[in-house]
Amino acid sequence: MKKLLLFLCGLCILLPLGMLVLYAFAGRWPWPALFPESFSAARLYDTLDGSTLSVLLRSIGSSFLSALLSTLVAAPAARAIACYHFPGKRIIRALLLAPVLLPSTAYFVGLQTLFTRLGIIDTTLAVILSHAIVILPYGVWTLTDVMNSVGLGLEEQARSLGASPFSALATVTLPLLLPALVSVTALGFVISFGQYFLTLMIGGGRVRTFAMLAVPYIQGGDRQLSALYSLIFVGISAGIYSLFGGIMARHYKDAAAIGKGAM
Amino acid sequence: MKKILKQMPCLCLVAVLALGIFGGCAAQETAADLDYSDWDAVLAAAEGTTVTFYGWGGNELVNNWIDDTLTPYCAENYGITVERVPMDIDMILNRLAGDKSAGNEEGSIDLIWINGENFATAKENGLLFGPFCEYLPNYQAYVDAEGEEATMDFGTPIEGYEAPYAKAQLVLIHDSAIVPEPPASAEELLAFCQENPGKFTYEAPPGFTGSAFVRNIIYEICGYETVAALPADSTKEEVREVIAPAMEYLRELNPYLWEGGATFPATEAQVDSMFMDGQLLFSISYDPYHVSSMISNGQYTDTCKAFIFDKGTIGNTNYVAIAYNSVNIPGALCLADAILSVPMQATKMEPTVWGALPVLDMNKLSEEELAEFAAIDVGVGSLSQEELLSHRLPELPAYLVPVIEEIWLEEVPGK
Repeated sequence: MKKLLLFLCGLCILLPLGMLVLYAFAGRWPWPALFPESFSAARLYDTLDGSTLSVLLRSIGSSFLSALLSTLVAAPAARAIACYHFPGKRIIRALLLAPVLLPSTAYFVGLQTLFTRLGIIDTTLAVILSHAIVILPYGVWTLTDVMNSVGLGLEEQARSLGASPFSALATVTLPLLLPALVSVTALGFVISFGQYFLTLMIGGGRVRTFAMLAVPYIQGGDRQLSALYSLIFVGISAGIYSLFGGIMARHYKDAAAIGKGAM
Repeated sequence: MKKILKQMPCLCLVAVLALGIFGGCAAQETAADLDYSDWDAVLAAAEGTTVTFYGWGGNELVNNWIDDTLTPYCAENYGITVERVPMDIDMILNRLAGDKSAGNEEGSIDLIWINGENFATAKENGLLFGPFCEYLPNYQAYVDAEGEEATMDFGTPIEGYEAPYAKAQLVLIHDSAIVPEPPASAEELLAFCQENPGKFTYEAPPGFTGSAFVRNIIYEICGYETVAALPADSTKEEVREVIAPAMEYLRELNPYLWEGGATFPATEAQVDSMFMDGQLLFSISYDPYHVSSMISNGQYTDTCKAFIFDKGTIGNTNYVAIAYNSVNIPGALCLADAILSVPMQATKMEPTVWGALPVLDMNKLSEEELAEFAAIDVGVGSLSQEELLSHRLPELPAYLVPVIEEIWLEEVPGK
């Protein structure tokens, strides 16, 4: 029964992806034939030329920076919200969620005006900052729950046994939080990688991310190009996500092995 | 006296503001010291700069033409680097409006691909630089400046604020192996659909091509002159009254359309995909050489052909304009000039490259230049330039387009 459910879930995810693969490589495909008459990878080669690849690489880099920046800000904020009591905590928590609740165009326009005044509009820096702001609420909300369950207890114990504040944080709390931090960063990456309108408004089209190349084709409705770009998109997002997951799994396997050896 | 004293702070404020505004203007003029009518000075100022070219990026052929043909041509002949930025026109206009309200005088947008309602909006709101057309040597040499399409864009006077880029014309497409005799008028189309129900549809307006098809039907049924004669301040009800016979025709057509006319495809590409798949018998394109391009890349069968109605089909010209806050006006002028050159207009006419009709006045070309156009193989399936231009009907005034789209939405789908 459980296997059947799993199989059905897998099917729901894989079937649309399978369609994308078919569309991406189909030559002519007249109705009502079940499969395309011919296959060709010619347009994949056309799509993945040097300039697309360089945009893709830079895009991965800038999304990664946005995600990292956002996690760096989100973690202390989440810790403060979860572990400390201070006046106005509820309001701050609500404000942190505002970017998700407000209609996005409203605050995109605000960001555009702000960055214009600061004189950094149309730069990669502005795009990275704006993406980090969009990711922030997701990071804070995910990490608040984690901080809640980790708590301050273990760190306080370490402190009472004589550890300095830094070494208590570095050797006790951080290793406990690491899996959550990594997966929040991976989530942030995926969110940033898919931003289109925000990148257009803040980057003015000068800052090119992969979404900027892909979305016009997808909106234009060319089936084959849309499928190709979507596949690359899914591939990168899933790839980065599983890469992060893989690194963490290895890290903990090693840690567990060391732990066992010591016993 | 007392009154004046009371108003003193106000007056001071006005004076300061006025000074600020005039001061600002003066400062701008010194920054833009260049005399654009001195073309050599423009060339010298543009040399070595980068020009951004903003426009719709959804057509792979157009993108490739800009990247692989226009950009190297500009580098070689003007010493400028062209940076193509794919962005939808409403985003571009939003951006410019945002710049204007934030007081950003150094925008990142130089040249913009534009026409119709968007041009009317941009010009009205002072988002464009100009007039600039008369500065361009190629405009002076090759464009018929008095011609309909150089003076009016969807009924909006151009007044030198945009230079022609390419011409498009609506064509219908059939596969001659399946439908040997395509309909030559709206009446014949209706009769055809009655015999072959469910095999025709058009993109839902305000989609660009679908909207043009609806206007074309209005021309067929009511006549272009009747609709174009509507005064600029006509109300929606007045427009509704004039185009009523055409809406009646479309409702009559509805039951024989795909899905019984209850719903319409959202994009032009969806109609085209259904045609390629054999689900529809006709496709519609605003790109006159679309058929040749699609045959050459193997997506259409070799027997596909373009056709038009005997009374003609709608055509428009699209243009390039310069942003009001462009930081590289000399470069933008060079790019606009390059677009109007004979080699660029000729290469983009080739169906495998882009397939856009040239905007030059063929009477102003020399023998050799004419030969460049004559040498172009328009490929299999497309109509000749003469055939198209002799059946070309002008676009309606821009303000009528959204009104007609609204009326269509109220009166046609599912009715």
